[in-house]
Amino acid sequence: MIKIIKQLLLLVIFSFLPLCISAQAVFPDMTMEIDFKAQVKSMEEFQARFNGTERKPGTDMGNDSLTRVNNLISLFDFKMDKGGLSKEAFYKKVNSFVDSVIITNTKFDMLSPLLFSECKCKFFYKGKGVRITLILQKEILEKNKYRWSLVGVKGLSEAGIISTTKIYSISPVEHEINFIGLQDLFNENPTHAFGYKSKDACIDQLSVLLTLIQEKAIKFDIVEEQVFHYLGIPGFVFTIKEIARSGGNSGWLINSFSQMTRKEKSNYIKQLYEK
Amino acid sequence: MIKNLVTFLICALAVFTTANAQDLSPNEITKQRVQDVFDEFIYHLSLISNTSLTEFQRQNEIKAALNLFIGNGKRYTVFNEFDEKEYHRPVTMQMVTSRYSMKTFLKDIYNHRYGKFVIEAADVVYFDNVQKRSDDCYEATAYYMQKCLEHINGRWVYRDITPQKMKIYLDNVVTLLDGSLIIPPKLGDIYINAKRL
Repeated sequence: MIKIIKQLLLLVIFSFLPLCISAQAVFPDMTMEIDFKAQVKSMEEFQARFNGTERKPGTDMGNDSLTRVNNLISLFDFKMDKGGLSKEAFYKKVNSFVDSVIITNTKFDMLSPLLFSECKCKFFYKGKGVRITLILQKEILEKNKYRWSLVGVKGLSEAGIISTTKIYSISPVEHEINFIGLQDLFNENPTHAFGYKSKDACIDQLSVLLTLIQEKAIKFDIVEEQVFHYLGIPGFVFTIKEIARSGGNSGWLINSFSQMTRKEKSNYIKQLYEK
Repeated sequence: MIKNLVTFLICALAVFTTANAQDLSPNEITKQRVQDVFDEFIYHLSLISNTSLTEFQRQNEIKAALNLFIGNGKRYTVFNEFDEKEYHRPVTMQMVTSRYSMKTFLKDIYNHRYGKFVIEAADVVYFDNVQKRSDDCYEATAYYMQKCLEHINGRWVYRDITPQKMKIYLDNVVTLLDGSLIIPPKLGDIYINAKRL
């Protein structure tokens, strides 16, 4: 009899446990819940709001085109640097961006080759913390299967890993002795290595970094800052950064944007990869 | 009489569970399962910090919480597209620039390194779409607010509220007898961007 009562009690406890857990998770702070819903929590949500497939709570103006405009404007960081522009000039710039998106019906695409993720990272090289920037792009492997891939690295010179300022010479007569001297130049003076390259030869920083990683000569520590660059809007380039603060204007937001021609965009990509 | 009551309770529970499952789409079921595992994690966190429990119970709660994570809080491997092993360190928590293992975090809660408090999670949890990683291996991210309540001068006050992101692993699809598929979720690394309060 006691055993049955015990079993009954256990059953009742286990039946109500999930209810207790969900009761514990009740959110008393309504502002927080509203903020959480309004916040752009992920890049996927940014994409949905940018493309108008999801509306930020509170942006519905009863008129579809106004709602779309409002939804797009809500994706801007309201505290972004206005670049010395007056309020009016800045609003004009924002409006021309929004117009460009709506008129050309351009969609934000997470899989676009015009989206780059710039990650400012901390590595440890020879026991010292160094900052290196990685540039990543999304690649489609097969249907419904994607991956991030490294497309560029910068900052190896500043980190003291490669030196491009000094040019060292390999003796002009070295060919006569089967370049015996290379043994001393390379093995006894490894820090001069990059100085032996031709003045015109480019250093592929991505290959250098991957070699160092493979040889365990460098250790990755942490991504300190992440910024997305999107060049897919006609006439514009913008960056998206995760803004951590309370309120609805938080999460992944456009934190800078500029008008650019096609030529300027290709220079922008070049700059993103180099230095 | 008691037997009848037990039978009634079991039947009621079964009907309740089935009715809930039938209302949900497969994607929603996965999300619901993630939510359940996530709630369970928060529930364990509360018990770990609960000093009214015995040391043994609280230690067991640490183990139970770690078992919800991929690798059970230890080093783990996942298989890549070439079916090669990809090695990973134990699941970590990263707070902007500092990072520590989940085991350390749970032990710190156990030792009240952060003071005496209760952790609760919001019922507002947001999920991204599930992404395919390799064959039968999927990943997703869950976003949620974690509230930390501290007992000060006889009343509970919010100590901090942090928006957090958690990687979710959906591996090893299990096929049930009725042919339906279930992917038991495993929790992964947590990233905390900033404190809200």
